[in-house]
Amino acid sequence: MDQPLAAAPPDLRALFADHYLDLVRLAVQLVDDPESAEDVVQEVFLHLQARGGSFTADDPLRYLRTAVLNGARSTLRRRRTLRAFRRPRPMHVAAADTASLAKEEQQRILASVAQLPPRQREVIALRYYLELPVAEVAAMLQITPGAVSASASVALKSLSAILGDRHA
Amino acid sequence: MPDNIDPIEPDPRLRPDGDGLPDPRIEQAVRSAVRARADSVTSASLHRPTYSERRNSGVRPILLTAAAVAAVGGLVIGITLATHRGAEQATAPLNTTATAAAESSRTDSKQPVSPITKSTSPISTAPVDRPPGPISASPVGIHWILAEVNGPKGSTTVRPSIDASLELMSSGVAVLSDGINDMNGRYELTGGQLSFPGNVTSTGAGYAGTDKGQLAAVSAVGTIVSKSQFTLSISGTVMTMAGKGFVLIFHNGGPLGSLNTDASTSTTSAKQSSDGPASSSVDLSSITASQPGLEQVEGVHWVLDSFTAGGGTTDTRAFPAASFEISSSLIGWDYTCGGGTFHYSAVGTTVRIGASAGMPPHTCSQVPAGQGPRAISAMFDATAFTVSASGATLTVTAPAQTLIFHKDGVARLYWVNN
Repeated sequence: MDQPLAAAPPDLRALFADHYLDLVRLAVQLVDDPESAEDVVQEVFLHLQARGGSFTADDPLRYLRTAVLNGARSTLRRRRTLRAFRRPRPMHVAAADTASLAKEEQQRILASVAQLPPRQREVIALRYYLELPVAEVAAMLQITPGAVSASASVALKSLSAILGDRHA
Repeated sequence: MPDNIDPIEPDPRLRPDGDGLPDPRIEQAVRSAVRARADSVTSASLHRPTYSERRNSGVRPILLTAAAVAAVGGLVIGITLATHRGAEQATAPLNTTATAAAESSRTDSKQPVSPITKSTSPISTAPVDRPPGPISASPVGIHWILAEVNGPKGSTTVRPSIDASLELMSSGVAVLSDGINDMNGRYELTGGQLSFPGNVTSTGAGYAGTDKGQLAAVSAVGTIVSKSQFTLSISGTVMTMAGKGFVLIFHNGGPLGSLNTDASTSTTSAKQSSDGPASSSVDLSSITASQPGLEQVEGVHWVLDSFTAGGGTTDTRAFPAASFEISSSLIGWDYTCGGGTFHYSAVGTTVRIGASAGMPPHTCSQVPAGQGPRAISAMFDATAFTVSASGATLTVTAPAQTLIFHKDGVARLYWVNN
């Protein structure tokens, strides 16, 4: 279990200023739409505020990233619950102002990533967006490095299959 | 690729023939795609790019839309502390007819809704406290989408994308959403008067934004479930609810989906069949108490705070969180990387674990890591345990340990679609 930082608890305001955008960018890899991604990160900071702004972590950024992963997971779970209650909301469609992102192949890849199981999506985000070492991904996801490699390998294989022979 | 990035190794269990190394072209394509998506989020595109303390909510409102207020003997209603502030801020005057109709046509609505027929509901001139008249059709079995909030200080359109809604089941249970949190509770509908005499459970998400429509929705839905009485009136596809200084306008969003238990509502059944197969088959009773002795426990997401074993108490309020939920037929535990669901039987407050009902969808193959997951895993290894709820705290007494949980909103039903 993490031990509290003895002398200098993380400054939430500074963490927010330094990492908010990057955390939203991480979250958007997991929940797809930027609005939900921002909500996820906001809730992380709200929870930390509710705890008086102090939390226990050897590495505050890693702690925040883990919290974002958990928040995104909750968001996806909540969506699953909502789908049980209601008809599904139409998927997020990229707006015209994201035209730079709207390259056909990237859209296909992102749509394919969205079809992956949550764990594989998380591995993709941590490995290929944050470009973290396998060991750190494993630590963040509380799984073994082998499981990280397996998840990434299976994910890439799935993407390759989904995307067809363009990359095969 | 940075130098410190070690390559993904193939998993020999998956590729016994040894080939199948990740295609570097796929890796590069994925890397480019996720980077492009990340780059599409910029500082300018953020809605809430600045940090504000909770105590400054008067400047930048931070709503806690579901403060879990404990009440012995029942589940709890948790509704915003700042709803009236939200209502006061949600006072932008607008052309209700044009704006609401325009909003109704937005493509992000769950399904097509008819434009508001304003002539049937002259809300712009009616005093907000005057009931709009008796109910003329049944509101039960319909997904009602909140479209407009008229309060003492003005009128605010609620965009369909906010997804604030009201559903009244014939079973007597209502499901509401203010776009931030979901709530459910028992309602009474007598002579066009709608009220929630009992407790309402709610998820506990916060909203830190300033969207007037969202704030109005939070305020309105909070008022609906705050033991107020509202008078309903339905005209065409519009339902008007009036009470406690508010007139709320809902659109008919179509019949309820698979959760609808209104077999007697012929129009609903017919519409459902024309909509094709239901997306899921969840029984709403799974989130309502039905097991005698477990009324306070069912339908709640319980998060493990600590456990006592061997004379020592261990605080488990750290990642990964461990939690459990119980419905009228299933019990499940959950942690970051897995969990399990089981059938169960209960005698009073003693729960006996039965056959496995599967794993939550987000499981991975790893054993539980952390004190919390290990403790809750051991709890489910016991054949039986007793539960005792008091307000927002639940005590589980198992043969080798005692576990303390706190309520964290309504059950996530993570076995749904399992």
